[in-house]
Amino acid sequence: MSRVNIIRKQMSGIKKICLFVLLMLSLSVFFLPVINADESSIEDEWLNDPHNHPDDIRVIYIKAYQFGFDPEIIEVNKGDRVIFRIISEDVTHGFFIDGYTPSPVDQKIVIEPGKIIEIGPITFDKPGKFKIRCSVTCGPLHPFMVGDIKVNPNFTYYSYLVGTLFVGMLTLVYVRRGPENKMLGISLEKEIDLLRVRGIGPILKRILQWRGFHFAVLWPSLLIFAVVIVAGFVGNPVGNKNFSIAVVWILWFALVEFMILLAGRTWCTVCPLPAIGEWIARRRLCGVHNVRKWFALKLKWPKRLNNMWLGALLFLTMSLIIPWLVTRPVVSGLLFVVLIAVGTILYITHPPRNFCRSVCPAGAYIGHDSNASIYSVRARDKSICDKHKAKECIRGSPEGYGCPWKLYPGGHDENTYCGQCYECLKSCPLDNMTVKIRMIGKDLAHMAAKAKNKFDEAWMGFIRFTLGVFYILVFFGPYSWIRDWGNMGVNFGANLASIGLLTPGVEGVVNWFKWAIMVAGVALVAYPAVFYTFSWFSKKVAKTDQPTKHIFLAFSYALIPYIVFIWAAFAVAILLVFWAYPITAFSDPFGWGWNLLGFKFKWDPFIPQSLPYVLASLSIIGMALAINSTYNIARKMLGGHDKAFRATSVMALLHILVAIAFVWVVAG
Amino acid sequence: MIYMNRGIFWEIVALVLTIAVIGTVSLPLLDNYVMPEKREPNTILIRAYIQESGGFDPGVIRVKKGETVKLVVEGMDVVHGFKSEALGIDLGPIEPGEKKVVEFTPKEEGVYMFECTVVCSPIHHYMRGIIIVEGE
Ligand code: SF4
Ligand SMILES: [Cu+2]
Ligand SMILES: [Cu+2]
Repeated sequence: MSRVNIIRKQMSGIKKICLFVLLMLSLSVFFLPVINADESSIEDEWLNDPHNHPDDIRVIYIKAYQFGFDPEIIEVNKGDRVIFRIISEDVTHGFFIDGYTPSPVDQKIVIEPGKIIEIGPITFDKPGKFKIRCSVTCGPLHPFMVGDIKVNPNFTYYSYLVGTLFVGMLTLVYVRRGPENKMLGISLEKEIDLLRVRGIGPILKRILQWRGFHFAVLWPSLLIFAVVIVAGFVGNPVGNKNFSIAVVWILWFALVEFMILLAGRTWCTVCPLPAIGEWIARRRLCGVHNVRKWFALKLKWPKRLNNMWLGALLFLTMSLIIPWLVTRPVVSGLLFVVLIAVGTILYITHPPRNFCRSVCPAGAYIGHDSNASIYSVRARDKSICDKHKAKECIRGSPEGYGCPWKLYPGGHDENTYCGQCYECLKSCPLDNMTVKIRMIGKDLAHMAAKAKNKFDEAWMGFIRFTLGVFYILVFFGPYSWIRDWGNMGVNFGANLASIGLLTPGVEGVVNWFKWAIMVAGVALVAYPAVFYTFSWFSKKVAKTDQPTKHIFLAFSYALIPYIVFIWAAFAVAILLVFWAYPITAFSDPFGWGWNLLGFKFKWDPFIPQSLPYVLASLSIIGMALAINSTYNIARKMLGGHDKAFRATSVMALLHILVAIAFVWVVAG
Repeated sequence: MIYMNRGIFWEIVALVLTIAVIGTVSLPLLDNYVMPEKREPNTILIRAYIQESGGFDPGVIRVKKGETVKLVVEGMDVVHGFKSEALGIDLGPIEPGEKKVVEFTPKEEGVYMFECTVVCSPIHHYMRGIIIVEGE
């Protein structure tokens, strides 16, 4: 009996081994590559065009690769009839020319590796600069896989160059007439008290004074950022299909840029990053709780950190990894986890909003830029505040907290550190706080006059300004090598499970250092140096004895409206080209093929051929505002119109030169 | 009657809403309900990622001899292909976001290989999977 059993056991052992061998054999197929022989000869075939094209047809040979086109820039003449012969060097790509090929939704041109695709003949009858874009998702940087095609003579470019000069001169002629306290013809003294506007004023006031307001607007963004983190960790490794990338770096980013202009720091009103810490510390989600009973350590914020430096440098650091940040879901997910964690902890150790004032990279640039906003939270009548001794807006009342941003709301006259939490609207017993709409740039002159040692704000300006121009070149320019440097040559997207794919090679790291030196060098050194030189010249030309340092710092505030318009231009470009991604992401947050809301959109750029002109126009508006702001600042600092005008004319030269460079990047 | 301060009432509402946010971590679980292919009988959803990110998911598929099954291959990241010579299936290129469907009835038991036919990554040649046809 027992013998039989043993044999049976052995038999089953043999069977197991057999099965195991079989399994290994079948698994081994995974390790044997299948290589098709015909893939190598494609290059020769590609260049030996077998067709006999008619004489009037030009054949242009293009090689698509991750993530660009070779040649990067193609020039044709107006009226040329062109056939494109395209191959792919690596994976499957697509092909789309702004304004010339049909919408990718109707007809998608696919370039499979190993095949030669012929497109055309296309007759180039509209002059200008157009983008060649990849229309098939081919990897993490696919959205920025672009090349240029110039249809000469590029009249629109030349007319925009002339237009830039003309508007620059016109602005100078305008300030020559000595407009006092005006911005491009509009008085800076005129303000609209939004909460007293008939109709919407009282309604808005009730909403803003409602204690539940902050929570009500914050909660949706908390929910959205929770999804951002989950999607960033487990969703599709390809960025444009992942909620974390599509919603944050397309929708959120663009909305914040427009908000800065139209609604100041409204993002900070709804920001979920420090909210959890704030709720824990206050032990309230909506209501007001006595500060003495807070759950917080209430340590003192170090004085040396009580400025914008940390936030500005963190913003620059983020910019150094921007090609990863905006294309790799896991990097975005991690960033927001870290920001929420730090924001929460710092609120409990160092309440109230020291994190927002000095650490948050978004807070730094939003705060800085919002000084060009038409929106502001201000006292109606400062003299009432002066006389009112109780100062509930600082000390708090049962209706509202004292300003969590450590400001004296009744007296403040700049947007930088006002997070628009509207606590002062609630706490002020005299109903003296309100929202004021004013012309762009109202506060710049007096801010600049005070800026004796505010290098932090000046450098935040330089960083923002240079990056705004630079990013257009990096993300929408033809030079794929710049993107590749910043991308460390990594061709993979990643979520948490595949984060190891982001390990760069040695060459990638070396290239990244080149990129980092280039970005940081331009933003921190080169442009500030140029700006300083111009400031020095304007001091000489104005014949003033103000120190150059002071002039230099003060004039840097004139960049703020310029920055806002350059970044708005970038945001417009992102939205027009990629609008489909964020909308679809709400229906399919993880990029798994869901259709929760019943809609999905395919990538289909919205009139992308208009982008050069829209972008150039926005930069020209920014330039005009910058020139006029310089004048307003100079007038306040140097006293007298004459000196101010002479100083302005020197700085105007720099602002015009940059606008010309920008026009060249987008249209030339 | 319990008297409740209106302030406390709203705090509790807000607290419940805030805690509800944690529920988003379970969103990925919805996959089994949201994707029709995961609910329908005799339907198998295969997601195609580049091999570096896991390749075909799932890569090992079990079907029953004689039973008709529907394979739905979904492109996830870049363009892939799906081909099984032994089973006579070739779906051609599948774009990201696109789904291609094939129905077949396996006649013989055995292990059949399928592979990606479009160069999709440096190790594309390893992107493949197996279909195991089992007897009743
Ligand atoms: S400063 Fe940063 S963390 Fe604070 S509210 Fe603004 S964006 Fe949010
Ligand atoms: Cu591509
Ligand atoms: Cu593949």
